[in-house]
Amino acid sequence: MIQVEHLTRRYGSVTAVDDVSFAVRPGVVTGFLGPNGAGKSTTMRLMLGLESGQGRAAFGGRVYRELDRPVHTVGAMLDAQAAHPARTAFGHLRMVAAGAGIPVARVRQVLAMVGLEDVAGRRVRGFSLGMRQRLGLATALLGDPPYLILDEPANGLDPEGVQWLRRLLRGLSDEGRCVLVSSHLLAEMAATADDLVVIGRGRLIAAQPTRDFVAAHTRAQVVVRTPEAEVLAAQLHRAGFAALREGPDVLTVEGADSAYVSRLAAHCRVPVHELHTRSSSLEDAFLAATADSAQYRGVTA
Amino acid sequence: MTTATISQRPRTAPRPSGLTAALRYEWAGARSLRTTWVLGGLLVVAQLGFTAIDTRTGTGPTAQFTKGLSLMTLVTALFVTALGVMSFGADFRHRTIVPMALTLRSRTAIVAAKAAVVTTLGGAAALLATGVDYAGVLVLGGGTPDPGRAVPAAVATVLYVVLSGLAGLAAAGLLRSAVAALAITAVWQLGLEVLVVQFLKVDPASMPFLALRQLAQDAPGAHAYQALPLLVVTVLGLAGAAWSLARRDV
Repeated sequence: MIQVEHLTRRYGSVTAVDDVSFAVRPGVVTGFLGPNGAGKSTTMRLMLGLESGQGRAAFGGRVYRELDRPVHTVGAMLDAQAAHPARTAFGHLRMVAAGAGIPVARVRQVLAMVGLEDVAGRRVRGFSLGMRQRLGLATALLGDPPYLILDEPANGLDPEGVQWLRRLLRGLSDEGRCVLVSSHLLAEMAATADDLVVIGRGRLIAAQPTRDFVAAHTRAQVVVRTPEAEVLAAQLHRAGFAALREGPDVLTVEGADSAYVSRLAAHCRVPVHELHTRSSSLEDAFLAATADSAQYRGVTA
Repeated sequence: MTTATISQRPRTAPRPSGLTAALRYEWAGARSLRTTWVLGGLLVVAQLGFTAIDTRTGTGPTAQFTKGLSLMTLVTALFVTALGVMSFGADFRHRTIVPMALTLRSRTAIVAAKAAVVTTLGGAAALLATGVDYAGVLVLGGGTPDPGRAVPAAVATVLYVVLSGLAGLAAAGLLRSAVAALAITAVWQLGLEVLVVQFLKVDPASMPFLALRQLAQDAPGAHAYQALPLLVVTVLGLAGAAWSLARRDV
């Protein structure tokens, strides 16, 4: 278990991380979400003691600086660019392995694991962002640690790479490891994360299972296609439900379930051509939960 | 790209101590960069070239030998300064300081290991170059330098080169910028002290680089204590770099 308690980081008058507490369970993938500038990376750096702040992050009860064998306990990938461009992938990993007392054979294993064995002797300057991400993951996996902290590992990966990463994270969590992954790819997180930690403006918004988060921050909608949409909409309004016109013959109803809408339509003798419940996505839930927390927004022309 | 199985647990080796682990990390890093070897080789080749084309116009073998050493207090020292600067500067520039700090918990051990590697590489290059210079005097100069004067000059030269590298390392650790550290160290080494001596009428023996350079060039009246100012400045700089690395975010 990773236990994060009251992490706080201030830069002058700006509070980048404000009293954030959450737990990362073993055996599940925990997604770490937040709008740009929410404090995700700072939180991860605080957890690893790379920044000084208040609070505590314990990995199996011990903070990072107290770990006897840090690389064997916590695998971290915070920045895919953190490799000397003139060094080969093998040279980079061998360097970390030398400092951690890990045999060279393990370097070859992790290179194979992340699919870089064919380019192990190539200099990092010739690597694409996706290849650098894989090298960063290999560095994190070098000590075969039970705790993993990965900051945006899917950045720059091609669709095959994203799928590979999903399988990798699932496999790692299935082995009982604690896996904390930040990402902007909400669809990817929806497919991968069992639990979510959501922060905005440095504050914790939610820390709960993904399903509960989606349920808590969205409302299910019933979609009805009927040639008498106006009649049905009036009946729904009368019954106290909001019915919005999505098209000339399509209504979306909030708050009611499909059985109720079906019964009401039958009672009013309104023909129904289509009726289904539209489930909300993690993206909808995320946008609803962080609506007040996004610091940077663009304007659509 | 393919995937292998996830869990292939590495054999656990005994945990190396903080400094040993840092030394292994730093040495593996230094030897995996081609620049390290190209730079070291270039220094020896430059000394070889200097020895070969020098007309050996010194008054005797000892003067010829110390003249040959003068290349090292200028060119070799500057290159080793760059090596020291890049040892820290590249880590901050390429963010490799993060995996390093995560792997090696002791920030003091990181600085100590970097200092040890710069000392080893800079010292080895300077020793080789000194050997080339000595051999040049024997073969081309037609005599043997006086050991009573040549040995102190050679030791002072090697020390100058090594301390220059360590000064560069300390500057990069404190400034966290390779460009700024190299500029400041080079200007200080090559120009600033000369200007201070000329315009402020300060004793050259109290200027860190100039004092040791006098010793390296077998200047009349030079004493061994003239190595102290640069030694003190370097030690203080490295201590400052270690303190800064331990206290500041990486």
